[in-house]
Formats: sequence, structure tokens, C-alpha cells
Amino acid sequence: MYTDAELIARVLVESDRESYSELIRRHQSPIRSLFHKLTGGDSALADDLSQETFITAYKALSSFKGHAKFLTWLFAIAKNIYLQNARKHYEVPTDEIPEDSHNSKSDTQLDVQRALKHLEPDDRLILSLCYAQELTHTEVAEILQIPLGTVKTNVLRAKEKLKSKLISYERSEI
Amino acid sequence: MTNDKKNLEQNLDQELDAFFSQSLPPSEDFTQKVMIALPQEPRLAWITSAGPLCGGLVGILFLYFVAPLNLSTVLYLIGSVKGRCSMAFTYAPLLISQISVVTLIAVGLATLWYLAEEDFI
Repeated sequence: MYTDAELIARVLVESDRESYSELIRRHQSPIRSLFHKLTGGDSALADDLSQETFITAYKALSSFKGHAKFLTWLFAIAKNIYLQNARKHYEVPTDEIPEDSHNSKSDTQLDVQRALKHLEPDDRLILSLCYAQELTHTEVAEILQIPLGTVKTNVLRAKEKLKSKLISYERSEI
Repeated sequence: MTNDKKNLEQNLDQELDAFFSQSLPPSEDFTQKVMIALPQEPRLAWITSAGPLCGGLVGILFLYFVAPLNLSTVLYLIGSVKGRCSMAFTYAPLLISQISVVTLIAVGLATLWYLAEEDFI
């Protein structure tokens, strides 16, 4: 079984596309899951953005220096693609959740998903990276290219916003 | 602090963990979809950066040779449009004045060759 670095070398040196498909198989799950959370459960959009991430990564593969993990590098690309898309296609947030997102989710989790949609893209991104991908704050700082202290502050701030939104849901249910 | 808020305070991390722990399983369809959309082979970094550079050079050569403008004016115009590069363009005439017309023609031909190789023209 090849390591990520070996697969990348095979793609670059031998133009071995099969090695790149192996990299996609290995890393698609965290990338697609991240976009799924970021897009409020819109599977089609999540897959389009994930596809764009892997294509961009393929084109820029020779610039991957190997200082960070390949997945961390992919997350950095995914971040840029998500923020570009969020800027281009801004939509007024709604409480609607796609039907397929209702599967195996508790009411609280659906509320979390709804509340996330009301956060700013940057806040949504930082929470998704910290919680969904089990990345350390240092890795998140590397992906977002911001200082470690700012990551910690922004996570707390985003959680506060999410919390107030969730409290407003709880109150409206009473 | 209300009871609701206290409960939420205690459970938020747990709820977030539970929400985010659900991940999508790998899909072969997705892999195939990406593989079909991939370009033929990854571009080497120098080619990626050479594209805009060559495009810029072609633009300068065009304005210099085809339009009746001298090089300083051309660079001044580009510098004005691309404000961020104004410093670079301030010094560029000094540097480029050292380059002979023959060199510029050689660069132009190399650029055209590159563009043809890349199927841009």
C-alpha cells in the first residue's frame, strides 16, 4: 500500500492517473462531509465543490511541498473554493433542511444544521473544520492561514453565535 | 442564566461532536466523476505561472510593436491599470531599456511557440 507521498510522486513523475484516483478514494470522505455540512446538507452542491477541490488539487499537485499532510493541503484548497462560492452565490439563510438530511438525525442535530446555515461562511467553516475533521487548532490555523490565537477566539465566537441561535429555536418550541 | 442556556452550555460540545461525527462514506461514483473531469495531466508549476507571464509579455509586445506607443507609455498604462504592480512598473522601464529589441523579439517568438504548444492558438 502506497503512502500519499508515493502516490503523488507517481502522478507527477509517471502521470499515473490511477494513483490519483486512489488519493481521491482515500480523502473524499472528509472533503465531501465538510462540504455537506457547510452547504447545509445540499448533497449536489457539496459534491460539485468537492469535485472542484480535487480537480484544483490535481492541477496544482506539483506545488504540494509535503510540509503538511496531503489532507490538510486539500482542506486549504476546499476552504478557498467554499469561500469563493459563498461570495458568488450569497443566499438569504432559511431554516429549510433538505429531505435526505433528516435521516438518522435527532431534532437537536437538525436544529444544529439549521443554526449553522445562519452563521457567516467564515464561522461555519471554522466550526466545521474544528469539530468535523478532528483537526488540531494548529492545523486549522495552517489551513485558514491565520494565527493560532485568532483560531481559538473565532471558534469561541462562532460557538456563541450558534448557541444563541439554538436557544432561540428552543424558545420558539416552548 | 436560564436553565435552557445552562443545559445548552453543557451539551453544546456534545451536540456539535454528534452532529459533525456523521461523515459520508466514500463513493466510487464520485471518484469516477472526478476522474472523468480531470485534465489530461497535472501542469508543472512553471507552466502554470508561465501562462500569465507570457500573456503579459505578448500584451506588452503587441502594444509596443503594433500600437504606436513607446515602451515607457505601455508600461505606464499597464502600471496604472494594475495599481498593485505600480512599484514594479516604475522600475521596469529602467530594466527593460537595457534589453535590446532583438531580445524582445526572441521572447515574443518563444511566447508564441509556447502558446502554440499549449494549444492556446
